Parts: sequence; C-alpha cells; structure tokens
Amino acid sequence: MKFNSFLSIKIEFKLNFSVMKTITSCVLSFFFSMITTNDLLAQNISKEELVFLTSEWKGERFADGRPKVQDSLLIRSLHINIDDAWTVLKNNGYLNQFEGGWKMVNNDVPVIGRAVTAMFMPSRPDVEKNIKARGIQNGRKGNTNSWPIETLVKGDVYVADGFGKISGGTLMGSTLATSIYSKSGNGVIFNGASRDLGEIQEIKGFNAFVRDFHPSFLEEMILMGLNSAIRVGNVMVLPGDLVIARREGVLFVPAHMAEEVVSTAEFVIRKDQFGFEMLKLARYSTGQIDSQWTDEIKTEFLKWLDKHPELGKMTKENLDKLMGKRTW
Amino acid sequence: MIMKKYFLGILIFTFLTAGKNSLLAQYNRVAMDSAYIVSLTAQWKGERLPDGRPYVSDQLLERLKHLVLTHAWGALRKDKFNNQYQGNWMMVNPDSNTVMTGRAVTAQYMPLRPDFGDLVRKVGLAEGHGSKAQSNVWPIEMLRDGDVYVADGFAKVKEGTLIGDRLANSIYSKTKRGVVFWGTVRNLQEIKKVKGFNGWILGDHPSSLTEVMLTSINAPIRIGEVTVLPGDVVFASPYGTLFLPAYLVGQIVLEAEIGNLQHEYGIMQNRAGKWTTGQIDSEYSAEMTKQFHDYLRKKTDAELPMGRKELNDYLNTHK
Repeated sequence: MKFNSFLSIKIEFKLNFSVMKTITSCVLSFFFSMITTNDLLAQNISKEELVFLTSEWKGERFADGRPKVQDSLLIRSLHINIDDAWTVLKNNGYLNQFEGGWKMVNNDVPVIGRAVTAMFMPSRPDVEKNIKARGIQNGRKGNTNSWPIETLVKGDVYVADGFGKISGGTLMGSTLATSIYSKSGNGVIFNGASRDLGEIQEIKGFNAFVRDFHPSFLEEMILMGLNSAIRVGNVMVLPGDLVIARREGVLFVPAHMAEEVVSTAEFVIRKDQFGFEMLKLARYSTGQIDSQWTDEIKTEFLKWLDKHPELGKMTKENLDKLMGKRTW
Repeated sequence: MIMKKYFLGILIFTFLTAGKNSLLAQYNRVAMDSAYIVSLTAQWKGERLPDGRPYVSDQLLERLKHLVLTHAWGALRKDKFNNQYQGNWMMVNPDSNTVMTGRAVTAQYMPLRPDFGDLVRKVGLAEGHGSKAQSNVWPIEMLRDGDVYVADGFAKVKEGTLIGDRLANSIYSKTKRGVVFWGTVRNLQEIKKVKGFNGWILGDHPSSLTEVMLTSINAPIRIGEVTVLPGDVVFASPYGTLFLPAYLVGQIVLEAEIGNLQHEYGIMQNRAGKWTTGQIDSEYSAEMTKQFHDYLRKKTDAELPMGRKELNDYLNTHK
C-alpha cells in the first residue's frame, strides 16, 4: 500500500498533462485489487483455485468457494455407520479416506461437518516474516494458529495437520476450543496435539480427535495453508470434505461423493433391518435376502419401509438404482 | 503518452494483484511458476535459474562441502533458523560420496484420491510434463546439473517407493547428485551400483509405488522437522542433512572458513609461545584480531578457500 502512494506521487510529477486520468486509473486499480484481496483472508487460497481443486463438486458453494454439502446430508450422516460409508468409497476407488489411531475428549460425541483445512509446518524466519506481515495487513491478530478459527461457520469441522508434533505442537487450548465450538458448533480433528484437556472436557457438545495431549504451548510452527490440500495420516483432505468422526476413527468423504455415500449407507441399515425381520419371520431364505432381490421382495421392502418412517423414505426408482449398482 | 499511461496502470495493477497468492501453493499448476518461487525466496538477491529458483554458485556449493555440520547448524540457529536439520537417515551408499551439496528441487506426494489425481494428471499434461511418464517421473524430468531431488513421500514404506534403479540412473546423469527422500526406494541393491549417486532415505521395499500421487513440484515441503523451499541449498552428510536458505549460504560458508583459519592461527601462535591457551580460547582482543587479519592478508590466493575480493570485503567490514 505504501508502494502505491509512493508511485502515485511520482506519476504526478512525470505525467503532468494526464495527471487526473492517471490518478483515476491508479485509484481504480488500487480499489480493484482491494476488492480481490479483501474477500479472501490471509493464507486462504483464492476462490478460483479452491473451485479448481474441488471441481468434481457441482453443487452450492460458500463465498470463498468451498463446497457446501447440504445441511440435510450432515444431519443424515449422524445415523449412518462409518463402515458402510467406507465401503462405498472403497468400491468407487477411494481407498485412502479413513484414518484411525486417535485420542479424543469424549468417546460418544461424534464430529460431523464440512472440513475447513489448515496446514502447519516447521517455522523458518524467512517464510514466517512474509506470512505474518501479510496477515497483519489483512487485519489478522495473534499467532497464526488462531487465523483458521476466525473463518469458521456453523457446520464446519476444523481439520488441521500439525505433522503429528506433540510437545510444542498444541494447536489449541481451552480459549481457542471455546471459540471453535461457538463458531462451528463442532469439534476438531488435529494431526497434532491439544492442551488443557481438563477444561476442554467441560465444553458440552465439543470433541477433539488429536494424536495426544500435552501441557506445552505451541512453538516453532507456522500456518502455511488455509483451505489447501492437507494430509492427515494416510488421507489427503480437501476443503469441503464431509467429515464423519466417531470412536472408530475419522472418515473424510469427498463432497461430490457425499450424497451417494450417505444414501447407500442409509440403505444398508434399512436393508439389514428388513432382512433380519424377514429371516425371523422365515418369509425369505438367507440366500434370497443376501443376493439381488426379486421384484416381490422389493415391493415388500418398500411397504415395510412405509411403516418405519424413522428410517427415511425411498422410491422404487431409488431402490433399483442402489440395488443395481450394488457397490456396498 | 497514452500508451505509457496504460502501461503504467497495468503495471500497478499487476503488482498489486501479484502479491495476493504469494506463498500459497498454486492449485492450477503442478510445477510452481517462476513468480511464485521468487516470492517464496524474496531474500535472495542473486542470479536465478530459469524456473525462478535461487542459483547459488557451483564454487560455493563446493566450498560448503568442507564445512563441519555442527558449525553450519550453529550459524543457522544464530539467524533464528531453528528447524533446518534432519537426521536419522539410511544412506544408499554409506561408504562413498558421503558429502553432497546442491540446489533443492522439491516434490510433494500424498495418498491418492481419484478426484484430485485426475486433476493433477490433466494439469500436468497441459504444463508439458511427459504424457507417457507416471507423475513421479515429472520432477525428475526437470532436474539439471547441481540439483538435489528432495521429496516428501510421507514416510510410506510398502508401495511408497519413489524411485528404482532406472530413475536413480536418470537422476544422477542429470544432476551429478542424488536424492533426499522422506520416503523409500525400491531395488536398493541395483541403486547402490549407480556410480557417484547417493541417497538419504527412510528405507527400501521391493513393492512399487501404488495409491500415491504427486501434488506439487517446487512448493514448500516438509522433510521430517524441516520446511524445505525450492532452491534451498542441501548439505547432506553421514551426520544428517541441513537445508540452508539460499541467501544465507555465502555468509555461513565464509564465516566458517574464517573461523577455521582463526582456529589454526590460534594454535600456531600458542605453540610458538606467543599467545596463552586462555587467550586463544576466549574472544580475541583487538590486537590479536589485527594480527590475525594481517596473517590472512599475507596468504596466497592458493592458500585461501575464499576469493581474494570476498576476503577483503570481510576484512573491511570486520575491523
């Protein structure tokens, strides 16, 4: 910004005839660049790049370009099994979307939502200087680990790669945890550590999937990417991925796969429940229930489903489509 | 006049918008472009390679080879670079070519996901990377003399092998150097036979690379506890690896060389009975420094590790 005003003065001296016009064009270009930089916060990748990165997603997006998986899908994800969802992904060629081996604050609080990703790396002064300078220019305050948190909205899950660092790798304490929960209404997934477990466990509804807890403060780490592609163990996570985290571990569902994964996983639950009941009543044999269904079974299933509104609705067409693919 | 004005307007606009995405990986690219690499390594004021990476001279790389790792590490820490060392390597050849210096070409690999994998393939082909080649060959195609290929293979062992002996041969013939992999290789038995080559790796495995994709070339990557930038100078030795910011290499090498000469001179003076052990083991007095500097001035060019001009500049600024 300093550079710009300096240049304007220089121009006034040089081009006295067309001074006004030049200044106008200067101000215009300055204004333009303000618009393009200010809709993005420091460290965010640009909207164009985010859209490019997640170009398989054809649905609604946030202002920053992040895929916005529908709220209804988030709610439905509460009732599916990670195992079923994992199988759908695997059968579609997504073999690296599950990560286990976590410590958590609460065993029975699932974390479900849209990923906001942050990549932390070991700090070095040359890079840190530039990043902090630009952050301040964009109105950022404090350490870089608070910057991703400022961007969170309801339904987000903050996912950070702290490269598994434990001592000196604590990405949040009770203050940031409180802030995360009030902004996102959700917990976090950290390939790194957290501090203040005693206070964090008092935040009702919050949960944290971390590698470990440690009393130390964060040091020698720098935010190198916000909503960029990050690695969490054996998974590459993209912004907008549907995160489903439960006791067994964390599944990252690519946004464009979410609808198919959730629908199929729901169907697996219905199908199993229907199957058990039919077998108990000895209406059909195990072989009949466990292979492609006849039209008779399909009709019976849909009638049965009508009597179980808590399991959701399906049309014959939905059913044929899911049975036809049989990718679960 | 009008042309000039428009040109200026465009220039200002470009300047203001160019800074926008600096320091962040470019997802519409596989290999980062020159403008991006320049913004990452802005402290470097010297010559650059066509791809934008800092070009630390071959002579300096050669002089760096003679440094003691601990000294270079200490110099980096003095400049607040606390995370530039990584140890615990397995060396491809523990007995030959054990000290290697060069300019880093960085590559990042991640677990495959088909949506992003297809995109990287498409973008890479548009950038002109080999259509017949797997993406793990793309960074190797770009290597040139004096480069060290540094890759993050996220420590995957089985099915995480970034090169075999064919690619090791190709890397050596292009760079006359070797590799540093936060990952593994396959066919180590044959790689060991590639004369002149060496590698600092995490291990080896007979399997081939599977379910792994290239995500970037010449973006910042993580090698263990270090963030490595493209054009960083790699110092790889049996005692571990250092990744030096290009702009600090000249100063670090020169100061280490002066330090060595001072050490030698101190011992010489001590043996001759002119200086006491206490004197040479603490900071030099102004008079001692003057004597040492006179001694340096009398050395012939052949006896000096650094250039005459470099020495004179140092002496003029350290009176």
